[in-house]
Amino acid sequence: MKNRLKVLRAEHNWTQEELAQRVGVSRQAINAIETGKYDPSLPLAIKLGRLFGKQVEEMFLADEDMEG
Amino acid sequence: MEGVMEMANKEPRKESNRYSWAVGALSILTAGLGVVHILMRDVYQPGHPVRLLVTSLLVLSFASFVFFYTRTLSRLDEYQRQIHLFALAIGFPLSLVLAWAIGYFRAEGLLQGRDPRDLPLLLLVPYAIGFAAAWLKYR
Repeated sequence: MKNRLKVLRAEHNWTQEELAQRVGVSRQAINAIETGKYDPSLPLAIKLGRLFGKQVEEMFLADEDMEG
Repeated sequence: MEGVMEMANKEPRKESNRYSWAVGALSILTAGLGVVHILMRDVYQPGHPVRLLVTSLLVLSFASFVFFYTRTLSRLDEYQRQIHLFALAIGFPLSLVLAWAIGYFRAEGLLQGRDPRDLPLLLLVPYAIGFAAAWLKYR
């Protein structure tokens, strides 16, 4: 699953640590999500979406959506 | 959903790092005391004060390790839990295979020199292998 988390974070000038604190997870979790190694749970995805003012599907794209 | 999100927000706490350090230190201490216990069996007779002291410290250290380990697990975020789940998914079957293999080989007359008391310490090895595999996968 692809995501725009790194771009959105950069737009807000937040470090991974700052974003992690805002959504209540570890910095490693944010790094793993950004690099595509880990897909967040639905509650965390919604929390990230609310933080950036985006819908979940605007931030996260399934691989098949990327191909289409 | 709000309730779930509130719970997710409470998962990582600042104490988790402190507990992680305690788990690391206690795992090293437990392993060290285990090795000391193995080495001193040929030196001191059962019931010797030194042997009793090391045995008591070993049990206390192992119990403390389990206590802090469970405290740490309850404070991990979802990503860190995924890593530990992966480590257990590999470590648990490996532990079963190792324990059964040792049991069967002992029944066949092999490995008689090994003390069954050392098995719990030996079972930390499969978990370490699982954790290393998880670290490689998720690093």
